This record gives sequence, C-alpha cells and structure tokens, in this order.
Amino acid sequence: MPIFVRFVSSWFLLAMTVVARSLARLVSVLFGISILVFLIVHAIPGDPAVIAAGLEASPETVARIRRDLGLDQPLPTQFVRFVTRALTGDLGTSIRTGAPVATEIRERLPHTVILTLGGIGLATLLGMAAGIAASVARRRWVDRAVMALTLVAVSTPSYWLALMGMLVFALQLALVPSIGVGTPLHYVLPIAVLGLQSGGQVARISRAAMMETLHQEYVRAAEARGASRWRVIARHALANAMLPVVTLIGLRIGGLLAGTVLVESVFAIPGVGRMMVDAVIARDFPMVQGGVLVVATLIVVVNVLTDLVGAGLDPRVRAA
Amino acid sequence: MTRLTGVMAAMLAAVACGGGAGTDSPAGPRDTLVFAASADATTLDPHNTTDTESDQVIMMMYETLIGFDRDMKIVPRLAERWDVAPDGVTWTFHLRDGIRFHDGTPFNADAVRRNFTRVMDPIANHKRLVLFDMIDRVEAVDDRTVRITTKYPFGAFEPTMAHVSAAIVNPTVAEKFGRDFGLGADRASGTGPYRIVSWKKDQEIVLERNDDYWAEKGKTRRIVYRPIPEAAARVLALEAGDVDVISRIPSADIARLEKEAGIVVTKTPSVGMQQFRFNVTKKPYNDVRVRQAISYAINRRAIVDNLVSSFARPSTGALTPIMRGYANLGEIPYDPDKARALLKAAGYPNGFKTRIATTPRYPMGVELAEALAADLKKVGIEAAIDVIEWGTMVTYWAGLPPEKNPQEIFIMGAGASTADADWGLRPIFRSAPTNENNYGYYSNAEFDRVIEAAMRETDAEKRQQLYRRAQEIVYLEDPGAVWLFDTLYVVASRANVEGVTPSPLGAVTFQQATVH
Repeated sequence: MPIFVRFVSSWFLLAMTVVARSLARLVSVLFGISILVFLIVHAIPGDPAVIAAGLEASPETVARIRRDLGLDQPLPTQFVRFVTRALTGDLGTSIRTGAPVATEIRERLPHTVILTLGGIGLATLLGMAAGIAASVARRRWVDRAVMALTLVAVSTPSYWLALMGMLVFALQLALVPSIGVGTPLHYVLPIAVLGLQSGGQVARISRAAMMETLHQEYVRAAEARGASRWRVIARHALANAMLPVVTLIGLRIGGLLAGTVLVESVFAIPGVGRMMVDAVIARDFPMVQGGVLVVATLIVVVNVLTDLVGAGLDPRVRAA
Repeated sequence: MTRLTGVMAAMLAAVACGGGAGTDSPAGPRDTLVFAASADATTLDPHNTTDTESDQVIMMMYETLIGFDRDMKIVPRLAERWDVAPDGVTWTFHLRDGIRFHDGTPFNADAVRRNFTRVMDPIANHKRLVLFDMIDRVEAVDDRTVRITTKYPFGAFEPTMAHVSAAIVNPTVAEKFGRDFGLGADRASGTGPYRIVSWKKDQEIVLERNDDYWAEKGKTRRIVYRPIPEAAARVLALEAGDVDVISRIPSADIARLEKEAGIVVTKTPSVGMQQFRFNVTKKPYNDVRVRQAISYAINRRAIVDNLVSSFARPSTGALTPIMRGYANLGEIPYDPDKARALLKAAGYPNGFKTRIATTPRYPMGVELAEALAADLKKVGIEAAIDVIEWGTMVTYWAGLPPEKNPQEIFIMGAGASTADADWGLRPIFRSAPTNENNYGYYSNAEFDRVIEAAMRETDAEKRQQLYRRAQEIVYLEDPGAVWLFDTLYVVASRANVEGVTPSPLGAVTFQQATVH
C-alpha cells in the first residue's frame, strides 16, 4: 500500500510538471502556428473573393465580397483580428459556405476522431501482436513473414490501398458499404486502411524494442529463475519495451490525423481533413486557419498525453 | 490526386471486369434514390450561387416563372402565360393560382416582386446580381400579375428569366434569415416538387417529396445527395450499388461503364465547350494571321478521337448546337500547309516560341495542352506547357489589365448558364479594358457592334442572323480561340433507375425519377 501511494504521488507530481510545461508549450506552439498558417495561406496565389464570386460574377461583386470578408484590410490588421477573435473561440466565418468555422469544424470533427482513434487502436493491436510474435519467433518464418508484410503495409500508398479495399470488400465481396458514414460498418474499411499502414510501423518498432529487452540481463535472470516463457515476455520484456512503442503511437496519431485527408476523400467521409482540402482549393482562409489551429491543438494535447503515459511507464520514475 | 485517379481507373478497369453484384431489392419501387454528387452544395440560395452542385439541388426545390424543358425550349412554370409589349421592354407575367411555398405561405405577385428586389439588391451583393443588370423595375400589378420593365429591349430576357437564379424563394423565410438564407435545412423554402428535410455538411442532403405540389408530383419519396469527392470512388460506389446515380465520371471510365451490365450511361448534348484562347494583346497573337494559322494547325478530329471521344464532339461553331443563337459553321479543317503559309505571311516562317497555360480542373486539361503543343510543333511553333492549379488560374482571369497578364495561350471551358448566345458570347468576347470576363482581351469593332445590336434585338429571326455574323467573326475570320470540342454531359445510373433528367446545363435532377 505505501509503495503504491508513493508511486502514485511521485507520478502525480511528475504529471503536474509535465502538464504545466506542456501548457506553456501549447500556447507558444499555437501562437507560432497561427502566424505561420496565416502567412502561408496569404502567400498562396489565388484570391478567395474571386473564387467565391464565381467566373460569371462582375468585378463589383468581387470587390464587395472582398470588403465583406475584410480582405481589403492590411495583413497585420487581419491577423490581429483573427487572433483576438480566436481567443474568444470565434474562428470567423467560412468564405465558401458562409457558416461559422467553429460550427463547420464541430460538425466534422467526430468523424475524424473516430477514424484516428480507430486507426490507432487497430495499429496498436495488430502492430504489437505482430511485433511480439516476430520477436519471440526471431528469424524463423513467422518473423520473416511479419517483417515482409509490415514492409508492404508501410510502403503501400493509402490512396491505392483504399481503392483496392473498396474494390475487393465492397464491390466483389459486398461485405461492407463502399462509401459514406451512418453505420459502424461504414467505418471498417477506412479504419483498416489507416490502421494497417501505422500498424506496420508499430510492428517494426515493437519487434526491435522486444528484441533488445529480450537480450537484457534481467530478462535472462528471470528466465534463469525459472519464470515461465510467457511471464518473462509479458511481465519483464514487454513492460520495458513499451516506451518506444508508446512514443511512436503518440507520433502516429498526428500522422493519422493528416492521413485522414486522403481516406476521408476516397471514402466520402465528412471529416475535417476533407473540409481542409476543399478550403485550400477555395482559398477559404478562415476555414484553413481554424482547421489547422484545431488539429494542431489536438496534436499537442496528444503529445502531452503521450508524455504522461510514457512517464508512467518509465521504471526509473516508478522506482522514485 | 487527379492524375492518380486516371491511373487507378485503368487498373480498376482491369480488375473490375465481371464484378458489380448489385444488391437491389426485388419488390416494388424503392422510396429513396441516392445521387453521388462530386461536392456538397455550398448554399441552397438560388440568388447567391454559381456552382452546379448547389444548383442541381436548388432546381428540385425552387421554380422559376418560366423554365427550360429538356431541349432548352422556354415553357411556363409559376407563370401560366406571359407577353411583351410592342415597346420591347415591358414584360407581363400572369401567375398561376393556388400555389404555396413549402411552409404554406401563398405564392403571389408580391412574392415575385420581393424576390427580384432581393436578387438585385446592390447592398446584399448576391452572386447572381450581374445577370439581372438589364432589369429596371419589377411591380406587382395585382395579386396574380407581375410587370417587369427592362432598361432596353433585351433579346435574352426569356432565357434569363428561366435561369435558375431567377427562381422564386419564399420571401418571408428569406427576409427572416437574410444572408444566412439557404445555409441550412431550416432556412430554405420554395415551391418546388421537393422540400429539404436535412443537411449534414459533406455527408448528405435529404429532400422529400412535396405532397402539396401544384403540378405532377415526384415519384420517389426521398432523394438523397451524397457527395463523393474522389471520382474513382464515385464510380466504385455506383458499381457496388451504394448509390443509384453519378455524374462527373472520369473519361477513362465512361466506355467501361457503358459496357457494364446493370449500368446505364446517358450522354446529353450540353452548353459546355472546351477551347484554348489567345491573349490577343501578346505578340504574335495580335496578328490575326497567326491565330488563323494556329486554328488550322490543330487536328481537332484526332484530339477528340484519341483523348475525349467518350464525352466530346468536335466544335462546329462558337456556341454549341443546343444553344439559342447557335450557327453551324462547320468543323475547322486540319490544314498544316495553310497554317505554315499563314505563319510565313505573318513574318514567322520558322515559327516561334510560346507558352500554353492549362489546369487539370478541366477533364484531360493537361493532355489536351500536350496534344496542342504536339500539333503546333509540326508547324514550327515550340510551346511550353504551364500546369496551373485552379485557384491560381482564376486570378489570371479576374479583371487584370493586359500588362499584368503573362498568359499567351490558355485553356478555357465555357458554358453559358442561360443557354443563350448573348451570355455565351457578349461577356467573353466583347472589347473590355480588363479581362474580367473577356479573358483573352479579344477586341473586334464589328463583333462589338453586332453583339450589341443582337442583345437589343427581340425579333428571333433578326437575332439569329446577327449571332450568325458574330460567330463568323470570332470563330473563323478573326479567331478569338481554338475551339476544340463541345462536351456531352455524362450521367451513369443503375439499370433499375428510370426517369432521371440530365440537363444540357450540366446538372441532373430527379423530379420524375423512380428506382425499381
């Protein structure tokens, strides 16, 4: 009991430090990102007012749209207005749809979150199982097969994988719907596509980490003490091999959030990634800025969580 | 991504043969039809949109006073009859009795007046304002009669009134929501055969049959619009039976779908044209002989046959045959010898170097530019190709003065949404100081005179003569562009779907569609 309390309290202290440090980082990262996005968006050639007005519109219409959007103001003025509004949660109004950016994002975010969490869940399950199996069966055919498959998974473009998955499982076998959302079945293919690619990476890292720990003396010592093979793998090797895996998973969540852009387009899922693509094409500045800000926030938060879990896993922290 | 789509399409074609087991229910007509749009609608406000994906939903929900039938003939809609006074500027519309908006509000002359006040309001700044430039005033004479007075006799008044942006929205709802009208399922109301019940952004729009509709009621209870941005996925979804109808089909897939059992492909002659225009302010395109030479140097037949035969027919004039005012001037013959002679006469016996700007936004846009460059090379002209993203491309066409526009030859798709010669020729070829609509700064004094006269001509016969002359100038004598082909509007549906209405305007509607 006291040991447990000591562990929890030390972890709690560390967690608080991590959170405090991360919050400071979050603010500075977001500020940096908002400047960057603002500048990049305005540097792309293309005029949102022209695009919004359409090709048959008159220049007066374009000029009025530009004025309505505040695009006739100097850049610093526009930036200050963007930041001050964003601080109150107002991300502005979409040029393309005329609706508040915050509403547009809120409507779409759940789909992207489901895809990302589903993808990372699948990647973790598959990847770790495969990685552990490969490390235990080192250099035998299981290992070779896993390594070959993960190489394929990592190097297959998700666009191709998505269409092939659709072709086989929706069209030929008619097991799942091809596109859209609505039922849990709709998410199976897109999550599989996202999960397989990251799963390959998780598998390779798990295998490497397991290989390393399986060589460590404390593992051999445990084996020598007569601990069962599975106990050695689960209790001694795996616990220590988890740290790089957790770090990778944290990083992959960021990657998956980005990867949803393609998957959402192909599977016609109304998520944030697809919204951002449309927004960039239409030079919908407020939408792009708002979207990047929200996604960046999510990624930073995930990284903080990853640090926390990592800290909890680190035996040096536990022993303190 | 578009390039990849082409590659994918070819691969899928190889794999998909023999696939496509649809899961259609055997019993009775289904109560829902699913259409895969290529993008979500941006608004359901007919006065404030220029995109087709929005327009084709709008066409189901709202109606105009007079409309187009399938052959683009003008037919009565909310107005049962109409006439124009001998002065050519006073139009009187007699409205049908007993029509109600979706919320039960009666439709009447005052509603029409308030609609035109709305679309023409310079402060509200709706995107379709410019189309109604010729209207002077709109009055409600009595409950059933509307009088519209134009500033001058306007030859294209009827097609303009039949344009979707002249649709009558429920003025009470529109005034209540102001700028937000059309931005959600609860803020859109018309008189059409379908009403909106829900709109989940980028996911689906659900329309439901208006059972109180004044004319022939819809056949299918629900029409669902499901946007699928990726063209290859759209085709797969149709083959898998997850959607019933698709449009905007990759050209490589059209021929394959035509052969596939269980799928029906329809091709409708449309107002769409593909051309490459000259920036006539740039040397050597200020010389008419150079432009004629290029026109003769292009083998249009070969380009159409090899690249776009599944959705295109070679151009035969400056408009397409379905358009009011079209004149058949014939295909321009492929004659490289004549081209070389013209170049020599213009002082370029050894050709010259030039640039072609294109965008993959147009189907086969890059391939067409490559084909053009290959033909030009045969007469000694070395053309480099600039592939430009759409959002950037339109900035070159947004009212730049000539000295700020570096483009020399550039791709352009044209398709006048009124299906009339006035909107199809006047904005894009009449002399103008900037290229706000006349993207290539085309300028020909006789053309200007003829087009101006035609605009104010209300006699159909005389109007036709004037537009024939205008097209002779811009298509043959003083070419403003290389017209390549007229596009066919291609729609594919599952074989159990009937009564889909593709429009020459490049939109598809489902007023009378059924799914067996």
